Amino acid sequence: MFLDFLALRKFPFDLALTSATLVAVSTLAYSVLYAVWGFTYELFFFSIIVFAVVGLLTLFLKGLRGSVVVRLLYVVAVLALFEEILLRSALAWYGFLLASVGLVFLPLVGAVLAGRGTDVRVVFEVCGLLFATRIVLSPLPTNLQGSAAFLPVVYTLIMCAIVMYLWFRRIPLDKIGLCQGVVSLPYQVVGGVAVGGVLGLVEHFILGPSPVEIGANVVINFLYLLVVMMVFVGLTEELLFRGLLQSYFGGLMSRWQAVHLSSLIFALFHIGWLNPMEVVFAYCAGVVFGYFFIKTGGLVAPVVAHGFGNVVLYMLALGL
Amino acid sequence: MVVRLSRRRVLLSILALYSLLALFLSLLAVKPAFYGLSTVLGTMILGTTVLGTTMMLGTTVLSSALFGTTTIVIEAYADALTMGQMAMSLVAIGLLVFLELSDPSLERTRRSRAHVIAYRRLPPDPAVVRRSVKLGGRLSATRTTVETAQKTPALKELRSSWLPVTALLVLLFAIIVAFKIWAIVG
Repeated sequence: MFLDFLALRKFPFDLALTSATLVAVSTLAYSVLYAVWGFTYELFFFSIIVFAVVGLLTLFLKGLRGSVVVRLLYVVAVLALFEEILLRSALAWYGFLLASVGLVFLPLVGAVLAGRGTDVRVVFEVCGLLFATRIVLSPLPTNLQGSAAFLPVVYTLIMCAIVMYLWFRRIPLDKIGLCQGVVSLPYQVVGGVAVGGVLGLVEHFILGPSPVEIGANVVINFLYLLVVMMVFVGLTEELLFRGLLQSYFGGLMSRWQAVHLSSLIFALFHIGWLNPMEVVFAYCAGVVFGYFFIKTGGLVAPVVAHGFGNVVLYMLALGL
Repeated sequence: MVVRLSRRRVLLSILALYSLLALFLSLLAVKPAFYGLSTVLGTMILGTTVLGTTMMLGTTVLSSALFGTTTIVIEAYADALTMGQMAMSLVAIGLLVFLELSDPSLERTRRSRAHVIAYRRLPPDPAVVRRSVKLGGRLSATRTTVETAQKTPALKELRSSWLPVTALLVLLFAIIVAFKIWAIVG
């Protein structure tokens, strides 16, 4: 049963090849440039642009050339790329402006293209929600950003927007993975913890972050990490990127192409760490979570893997 | 035993879980000197009063809490109170959006019997019109909205598409204003 869950015999080699190409080219480009010039912001931004272009190019060369809708999705990915880059540069105001443009106009594009089917409309509206997550961050004051309440506040606001959207648009909850799935829960949890643990170790090796500390109490620190990472970060991001984005991309392209594209956008939303390898890592993690989502038919395994990975990352940083 | 929750309950449960956990974690973030049940309860009552007053007066929580000993408590629980204000803003905006989207022309949700009768009969019964005016006077607008929506499906589509997004923008604007005032007052 557990081997069925892993389903290695049916592993999508097409997706693996595409992902490996993207990771190899991006890493090689960054390594060469880093060896020549050392770390600069220009190099970082250039590496990310290479990553995004190669990612979209692999998708294009793999046959996703299609309709106006697909081309518009490429534009959305490029918009996300420049919005994130600008938001982390000295021109942050323009990044905020681009995010606002995405938030307001993408749902309108969805409304205009509604005649092509419900999936098309939902895809663009969800893309708009992605940009909303960036606008939520912008008005929060700096003195809240160091607070333990920061992540809960931000993710609660994002979740409010998502729930409101699901409610009014009457999105079927089974389709976006808010269900048990086809694999038994213990297997999903064990699989998620195992994979999440490994991902956390790798991410700690890449980032070595300095985390938010609540206080000297180890138990409170651990509980805080567990709740914030599993519930707020894990569930919200997986619901957005896997539940909504990947599911509805799947209605417009093959499911492995959907995994690739949603993971690419997921990775672009990790530019804030200012580490190109973290972006590549986020892409790989997105592919793994997307694979879990397809195989289990639910969000339990991706949420556990995502959340536990983050818990391990910060536990290592805290020295717990 | 597997309990299957309805769609509405699942969504409300998620929101409730997030709100409660966020409130709990923001309380964890306050200074240890302010731990204690009596302080928490006292501040909650005070906060509720202040929130009520500010809603009536149209000002913000923190601008009206600058006198006497309340200042230090309000500062310590600023995160929690600010979140409370955000939640209340969200509920208020959500209600407005619900009212808008539950317009009969969008065929979304249940309406009162008077509205349903009025919606189906063209022209409407004058008695129903009188009752509807007592209920809030939305009926006269309903006729026009129905006819407009029937003529222009794109309008209906647009309204049902971007209203939640617009509501979010309004919410964000409210947050920006609240935090700007906080920054000025602080």
